[in-house]
Amino acid sequence: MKSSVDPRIKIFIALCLSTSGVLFTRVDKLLVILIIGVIYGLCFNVQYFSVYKRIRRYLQLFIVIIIIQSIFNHDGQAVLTINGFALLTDEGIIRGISYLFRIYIIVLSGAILTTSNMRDILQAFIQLKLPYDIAFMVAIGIKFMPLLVEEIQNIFTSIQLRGIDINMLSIKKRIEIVSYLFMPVIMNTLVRAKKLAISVDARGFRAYNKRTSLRQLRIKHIDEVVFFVTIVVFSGCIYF
Amino acid sequence: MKPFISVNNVSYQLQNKEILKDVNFKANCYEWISIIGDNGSGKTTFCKIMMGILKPTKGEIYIDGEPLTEMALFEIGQKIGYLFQNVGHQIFAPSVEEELAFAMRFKEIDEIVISKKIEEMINRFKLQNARHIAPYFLSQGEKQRLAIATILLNNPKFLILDEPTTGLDYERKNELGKLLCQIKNEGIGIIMVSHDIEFVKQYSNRIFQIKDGRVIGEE
Ligand SMILES: Nc1ncnc2c1ncn2[C@@H]1O[C@H](COP(=O)(O)OP(=O)(O)O)[C@@H](O)[C@H]1O
Ligand SMILES: [Mg+2]
Repeated sequence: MKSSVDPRIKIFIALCLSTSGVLFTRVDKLLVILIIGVIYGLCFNVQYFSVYKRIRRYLQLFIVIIIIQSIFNHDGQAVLTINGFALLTDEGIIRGISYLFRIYIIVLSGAILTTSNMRDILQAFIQLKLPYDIAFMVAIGIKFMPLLVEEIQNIFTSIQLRGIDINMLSIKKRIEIVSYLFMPVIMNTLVRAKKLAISVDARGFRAYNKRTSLRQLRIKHIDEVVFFVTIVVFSGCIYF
Repeated sequence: MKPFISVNNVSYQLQNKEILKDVNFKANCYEWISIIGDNGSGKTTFCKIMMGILKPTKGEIYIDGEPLTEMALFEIGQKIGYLFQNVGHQIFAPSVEEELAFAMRFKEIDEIVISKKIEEMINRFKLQNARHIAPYFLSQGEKQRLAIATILLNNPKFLILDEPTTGLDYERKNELGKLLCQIKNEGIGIIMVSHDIEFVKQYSNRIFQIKDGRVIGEE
């Protein structure tokens, strides 16, 4: 099923998932959306391990959110108090969990999109009548992401290999390190963009207003079924 | 003599693909080891594993008798210098001088000492003409020499160089060979990845080949 579902349907599902993840506030609704997302993910063969790895570092943030929500929200029962100061409230915990669910839902909708190859997604945008310039820009952006990540990782690694213990630095110096990380990356990106612009011009990009594509996406039966199921499921969620 | 780098039964797997299989490898100080192998055979992966940048799926690595898993990157960097395959990724300061001073400034070393060391490195690595140019615009050879200079400022006992000869002309290659020989004579061991069989044969004490995920000795 992974490759057989039309990327346009996947875009639609990702839109439904992320929109409901942002709009819904009740934790039980978010849980339902998350479960639906996980089921879609299973159908599309999402690499859950890589999703988990991406999300792992937000777990600490999640605890911080719970505490902040508990301190600044005076509704809810105190679960943990220190010297009469409510550090954890049940309302705070619920909000923290909601945030966590939201992050998961949004990452999942992104992950569902990545199960189609880039060329298909680009074709989907074109056939959805998105201007080709914009579709192309999005595709290029996505394509260059891994390069940027690798570059930042390598620079970060080489800074540490120079014998600098990041964990022992003061906040001020850590900020300085970040500036060292981004300077060359921005430089490289600009130069790469310039080269890309030249090569794209040389190949006649936008030479004619109307572009045709050799590859055309067609809606198949399975796509219609998935589309219909998605509409039913998400309308159900709204009235639930 | 106890080996400086000791790799025991190391495997590395990436998304169900086994890139390295049960690799055993030992490297002593005072020797120059070369690693050859086809593109994509896992040479860079092997280097990064020895540097602690990638974690092996199986097996152990000891550096100077200490398990690699118990060392942080900043500690490893003071024992082994690493030249990235893409040198551009390890040069990031706005000028050559700042590049050389970077680590020393973070360690709050006296400015007089820093400028003396910078001078020394610029002369030794023939970077006089480049000193005020942004490293980004340096030639491949200059970038490499600058990277090696910054590495040596850490006083490592070993160097791991990932394809240092790529992109160098005949002259620059000879210069690099001489420079590395000098470094080796100071008692710093070298592991070098290269495609340049001639260069490899001219300088190395031992040659290994990576093939189908295994490291095979040639001599
Ligand atoms: N981040 C990665 N994701 C997927 N495959 C990778 C990754 N890094 C390396 N590989 C694969 O591992 C193999 C070895 O890569 P590498 O160590 O860079 O080879 P070499 O340096 O010998 O050319 C290659 O086949 C490459 O496709
Ligand atoms: Mg390589």
